Amino acid sequence: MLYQRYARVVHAVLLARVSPADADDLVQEVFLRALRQLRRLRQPGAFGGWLMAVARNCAHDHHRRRRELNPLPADVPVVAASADRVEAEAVLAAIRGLPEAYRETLLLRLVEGMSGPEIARRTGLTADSVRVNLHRGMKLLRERLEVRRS
Amino acid sequence: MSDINPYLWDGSGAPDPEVQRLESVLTPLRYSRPLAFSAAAPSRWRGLRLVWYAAAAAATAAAVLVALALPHARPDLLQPRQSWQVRPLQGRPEIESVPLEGKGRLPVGKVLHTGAQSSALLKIGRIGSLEVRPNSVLRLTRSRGGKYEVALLRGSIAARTWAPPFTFSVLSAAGRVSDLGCSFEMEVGEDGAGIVRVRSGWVELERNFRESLVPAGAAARMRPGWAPGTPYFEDSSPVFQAALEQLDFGPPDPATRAAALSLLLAEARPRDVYTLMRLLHRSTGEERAQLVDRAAQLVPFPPGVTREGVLAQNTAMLNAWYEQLGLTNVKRWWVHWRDALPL
Repeated sequence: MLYQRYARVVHAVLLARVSPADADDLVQEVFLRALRQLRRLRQPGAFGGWLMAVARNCAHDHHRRRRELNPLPADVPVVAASADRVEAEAVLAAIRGLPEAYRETLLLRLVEGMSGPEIARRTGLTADSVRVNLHRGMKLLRERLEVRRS
Repeated sequence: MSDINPYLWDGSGAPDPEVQRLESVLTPLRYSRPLAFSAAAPSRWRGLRLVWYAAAAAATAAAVLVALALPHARPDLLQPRQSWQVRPLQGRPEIESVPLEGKGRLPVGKVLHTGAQSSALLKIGRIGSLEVRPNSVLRLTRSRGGKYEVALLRGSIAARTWAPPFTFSVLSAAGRVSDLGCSFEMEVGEDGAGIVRVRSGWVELERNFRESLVPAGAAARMRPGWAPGTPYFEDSSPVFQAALEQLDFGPPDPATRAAALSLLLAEARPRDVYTLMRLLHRSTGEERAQLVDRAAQLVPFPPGVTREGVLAQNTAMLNAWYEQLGLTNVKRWWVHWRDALPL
């Protein structure tokens, strides 16, 4: 089933751009939007890459909608976050600071638990591209996390 | 071409500690929601548009027919969707202090209260039932978008559901309990502490990204402000259970933990290795080594699994070892939830 095969790919693309809670909520919206726009897909073999583009647009629209809403009042209570959550958010922020190709590939590997070959199959990227994205992305991420630590 | 670390590439080779650490930190963000809408993609792309239009036309016609016929045939179905049917099992339970005489409905946001001599049965939408036992206070918090959720403020409940994982959840002061397609019981005391007992399938306890997966026949405790307790089989010895409670919720000083761990390991049976394996994830250093050694005595490693690999939390090795326990594979349960319970 397409959903089972691609949900994690869509989630990683969203997670590179929106908060974890919003990413969870937007996954199904991406699939609904994709089904409605399916006639625009010219090559079924390119479904993975096309679906990722739909997800990027969906994240973009989400940000635009958010900007149109009023900002939250200043007295909204802040819920104390656990140490695990704080660390996850910090790592996520560091990944979001990487170039787009690296950040999506790294999220697919580190969050969604997909292997390099699986990422290549799902996204339509070549195995060499995935290899380069993972290698360089991880190198950059290590450097940035090291800077944060120090 | 980049000279990539094999572990980063496909999980093979020696684990990279930094990659492992990042995986561990980020895995709680992994996507795991089931599909909440039913528009599956067809296999033939070209026919999709026609099929889509035909389906839309058929759905519209059906909706018109239902709208015309429903008020006469089933007026009860026209009640607000965001409420659950409820009926007394014994005595007179109350909804917002109003006694429930016969069948009624519990709207989202409202509280059901059972006294010492009363209990009630709720229908969880169309996916199952929830018995609210005496001396319980329960609020319906969500019933839309394919998600059904209640908050158990105190008391005890028994739930049986027939739905994909994470469709039904129970909130409490100690965390969230999500069913993975199963039957379970839950108790919450005045202080917010509680226990979950799983009768069939699996249940997940979660608080602040810390989770505990509880299989059928096992239980796990929860306390406000703490990570969910480690699951244990209820036929384990009282000493084993008391020692586990110390490890989960006791003081963190090394002497107390060492004494509790020693008792736990001495009392462990082969069936309790699941508990030891779950504790592995929360332990480090010497504590982890003791857990691995005792668990391996009770359930030996299968071929290809090594002590070093297990100590390093090698996922493939832990999975292979876990298979030796003979428990239902939780991932298989997820995929085949429809087949897991009799109709």
